[in-house]
Amino acid sequence: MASFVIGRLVRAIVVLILTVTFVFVVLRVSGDPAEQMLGDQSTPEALAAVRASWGLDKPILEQYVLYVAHVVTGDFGRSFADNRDAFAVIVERAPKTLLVTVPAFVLSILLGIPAGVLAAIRRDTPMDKAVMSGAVLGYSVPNFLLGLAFIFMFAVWLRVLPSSGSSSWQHAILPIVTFALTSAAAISRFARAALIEVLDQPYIIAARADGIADWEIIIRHALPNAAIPMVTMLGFVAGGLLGGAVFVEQVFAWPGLGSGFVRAVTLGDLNVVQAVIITFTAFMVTVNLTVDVLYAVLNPKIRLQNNDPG
Amino acid sequence: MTPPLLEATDLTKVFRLKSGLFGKRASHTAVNAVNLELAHRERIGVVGESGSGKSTLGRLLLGLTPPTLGEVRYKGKSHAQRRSRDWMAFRKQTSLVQQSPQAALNPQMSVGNQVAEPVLVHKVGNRNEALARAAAILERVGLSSGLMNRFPHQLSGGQRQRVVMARALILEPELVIFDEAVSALDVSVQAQVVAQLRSLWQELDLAYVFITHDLRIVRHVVDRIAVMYLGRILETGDIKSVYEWPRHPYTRALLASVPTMDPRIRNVRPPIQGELDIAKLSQGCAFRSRCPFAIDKCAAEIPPLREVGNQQVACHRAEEMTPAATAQMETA
Repeated sequence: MASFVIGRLVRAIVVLILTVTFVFVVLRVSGDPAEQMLGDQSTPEALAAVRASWGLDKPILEQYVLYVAHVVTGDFGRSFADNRDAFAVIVERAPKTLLVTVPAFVLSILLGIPAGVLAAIRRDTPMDKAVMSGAVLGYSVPNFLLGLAFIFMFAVWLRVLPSSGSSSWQHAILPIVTFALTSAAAISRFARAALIEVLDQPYIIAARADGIADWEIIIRHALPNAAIPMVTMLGFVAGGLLGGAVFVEQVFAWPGLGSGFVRAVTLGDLNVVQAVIITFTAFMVTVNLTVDVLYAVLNPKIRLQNNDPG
Repeated sequence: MTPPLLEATDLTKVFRLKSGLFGKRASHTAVNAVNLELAHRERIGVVGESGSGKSTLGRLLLGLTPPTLGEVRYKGKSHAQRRSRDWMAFRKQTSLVQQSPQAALNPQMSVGNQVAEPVLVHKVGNRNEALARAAAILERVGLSSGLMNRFPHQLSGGQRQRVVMARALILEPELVIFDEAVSALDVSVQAQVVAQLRSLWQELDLAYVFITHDLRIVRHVVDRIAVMYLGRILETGDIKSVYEWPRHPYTRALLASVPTMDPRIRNVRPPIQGELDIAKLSQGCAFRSRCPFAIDKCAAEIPPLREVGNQQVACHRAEEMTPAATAQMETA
């Protein structure tokens, strides 16, 4: 188990290094940062001055080495747009994103898993069909569209919740619910499938033949086994929340990493774009690592790998 | 007169199949008007090819799926009359051993916990007593109690099957359904498990139904046999009578297809052709489309199960079958 975790940890670090390199190369190749900042009407002298002041006139390899050396110490450079520390932008915006995504993630699990479990237990009944119809609907509607529908319904029509901004806790409700509903739909569909797969296994039939109560079979035999694929899936959902943040924060004008990213790309703010991507990657890598570790804890085949080769 | 241990009357199970949202509703009769009786300590084999309904029969007998028609009685009491407390008493006295030892064990539970579970479920003992009993029954089925802390993936197929058996036998049940219990094992392991089953039966107060497609194995572990085809019993009787003088063309074909170790005996002609034909179920003999003895009467009339010789046979031409015709059958 220890060697399994260490192996995954090494892989996570390699992924991070590759991402930093990839992002650096792609962003340099995609255009002249100085020209993006100043516009194509600017004089060659002005461009040269900007390049010199940001170190963009040095050979690309030297820029890369300098950049990596700085990133390792936590220095992501300065924002081209407002000359602030790029890392400070992350520190300012990340909590806002977490404020929406973490409750949304928890809420989507609390909604999605019981719904999926219920549908699986009551398979092919009107209950199952109702839950799954709702799930298909929630799964099919893009989150930004759902967000707009919610703004129209609760902010414009009913006038009970604010439509955009982040000045009060009420502002967080619509983004959280939008996120949670679309994720819960995906989770419930998957939870149902995973549980049904397990419920058809002979050891569940054996447990019934042994007289174990249905609810006990679900809790003791079925759910722990269905949890293995579920953990993998929840990892994807957690990652998807960050991707979704780009859309949802934009819709609700929520000043998190997602809308910050969009702003930085529009302004050609290279260092902030890089910093956000690296933050997202670090988050994804952490999620994947957590999934792998949980997977090992849940699955005796991996947990006991080194104790017994059979 | 005391009632038989287990008694199935007109047992029928129809599965409704639906294809697509607006698809035509179809149905499949997996078990068709089966009658079966099992006495205390009696051992009966149910044989048939896949799709013959033998596994569904096993689940019906244990009340794991409700019958469409007919009823199952255990010690005189019908499953339909059971309330939850009666079910617990029934579950305590009965067990199911299934095919595929890999999937019949929970991959996340240690062997010891898994074998001990029925003791705790039926509140026969506390945790320590349950584990002690688990260790004892594991040794009784020929496993070391040192395997208690292992997980299923760390065991061989034969070991897993013994663990499944240990779990099924830990409460010393009076009735066990073995559903293809040894079919997934290597021949040498099969032989060991079969030998184990025979000696366990000597020691325990146990009756069982041994469901299998394997005619070589079944004769070593049962007293009586029932041959199933498309949900119906075509022939049933003492294992010895049926093997010596099979009266149903299907039984004869099954026995003729058993591979033999004697190189002088070859299965010259393929005894039956084609596959199970569900469409032929509605009228006449279900086996007639593959039967070399079929006559017009077979298409018109379903042959009832009736006494012929030492057994019961559902064939219009049962009297015409001679023991000589099965000379190629292995008799050893």
